[in-house]
Amino acid sequence: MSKLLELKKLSVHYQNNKDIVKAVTNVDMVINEGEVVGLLGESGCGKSTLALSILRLIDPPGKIYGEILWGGNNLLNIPEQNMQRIRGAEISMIFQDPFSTLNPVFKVGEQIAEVFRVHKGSSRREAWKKAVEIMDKVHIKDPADRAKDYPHQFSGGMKQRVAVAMSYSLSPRLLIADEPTTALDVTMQKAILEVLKELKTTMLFISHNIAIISSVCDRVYVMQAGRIIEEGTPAEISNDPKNPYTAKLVNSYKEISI
Amino acid sequence: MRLIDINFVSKYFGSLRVLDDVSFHVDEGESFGLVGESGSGKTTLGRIIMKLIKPTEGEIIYSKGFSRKDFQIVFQNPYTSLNPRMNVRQILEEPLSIHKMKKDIGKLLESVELEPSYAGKYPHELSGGERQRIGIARAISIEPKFLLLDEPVSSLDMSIQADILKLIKKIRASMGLTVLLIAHDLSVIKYMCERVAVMRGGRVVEIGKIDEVYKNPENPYTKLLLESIPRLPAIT
Repeated sequence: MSKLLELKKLSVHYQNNKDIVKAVTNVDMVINEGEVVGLLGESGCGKSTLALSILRLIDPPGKIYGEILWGGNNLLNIPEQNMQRIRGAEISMIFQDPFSTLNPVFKVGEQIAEVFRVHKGSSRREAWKKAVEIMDKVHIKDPADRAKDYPHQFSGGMKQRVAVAMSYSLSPRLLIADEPTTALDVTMQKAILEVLKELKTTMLFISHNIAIISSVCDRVYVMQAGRIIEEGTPAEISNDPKNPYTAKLVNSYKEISI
Repeated sequence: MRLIDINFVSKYFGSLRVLDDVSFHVDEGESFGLVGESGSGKTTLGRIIMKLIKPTEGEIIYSKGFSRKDFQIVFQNPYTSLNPRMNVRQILEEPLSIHKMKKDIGKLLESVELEPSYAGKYPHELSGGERQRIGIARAISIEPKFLLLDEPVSSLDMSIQADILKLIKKIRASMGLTVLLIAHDLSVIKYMCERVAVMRGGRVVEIGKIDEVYKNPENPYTKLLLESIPRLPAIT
């Protein structure tokens, strides 16, 4: 397997006059081509910050240190213009909240079509056709009609399907999914996870739920307080956790699960 | 003995039917679960039971001698259910003063496993789990008989969920509370409740003892709910 993305000593610090907040500290991570890698951790541990830093979406005063190696380049050294081409086309992201991902005043189809117009220079008609095709791929029924609807006409699960469609529209080489099912019901959650699996893309899948991570990932990193504290397959992590914090996560799940 | 009887309750918002002929009862001392997906009507039913809104049709019968102070609610979102301009002491004293009761706030905080020093803190200084503990303390402060918990842990991390559910179990045992727990997560219901009603599209599609519903779900929707729960890999 060849390395697609490698993080070397990646840190994200937020600094003001007095204090430094270290959100992410010295993270080493490898994502191989074709792999689905999980990032497990609780609120505030830095997992979303880590995801955003890969896309260089950290706003000042936040600063990223270390190396993000992508196709031989360190993404931290390339100009913003090139970075814009990478975002969406090569590395794309699905966010947690399907309700705020979509713009409420534009038709769903238009929002997906915009991706094709901006990145591929497609004509309006052509972009719309592609948008309908990609909606079909994530199993939205009657895509040609639903494309004309506005986001408020979609349920949470349907909106998240649209978000998946949008992030997948340019066939990115890496998809970062940040808690893509947390806002959804269990039945919708299952459906979205199945759609994600069907895409067969290399993926970084972020969640606080060890069972969800286990059901989609080949390999898992466990994060606590900005650091990676353990790495292994889902089976290794849940049956034989090496770190006491991982063990606590597994046990708290086992306690309330059926 | 029946504490709350829900008889043929329907609710319309305009022409939209949110609840359709719902009937079940909650026995005194039991922990009853209400499970269903978003939009199934479980929160609306909870609000009707709390007398926050009226049903369009049907009625709720409470056991004799049951007064307003006997039923309390813990809300889903610990971030919006506490007034940001009140400190913990003020939040906890409000229901006590309404019902002309006096109580040691320190002891109340201890009952939800928080230090008495939390009394001076404001909601923004608290984590999600701590806020939910305050929500619980506020609900039990006036010693209700019945507690409605509307998705009390769905916005929390897994490990915090386990802590909060354990706390609710402990409080329920020590105070002899009757509990109605609303959740979309069957694991949470299974951990807490003795009986469960499964709701879909405003109707109760299945009702029964929790173990039976889990072992032999009769309704296809209940089956789907059970199958959708993500599981840990089998021990190898």
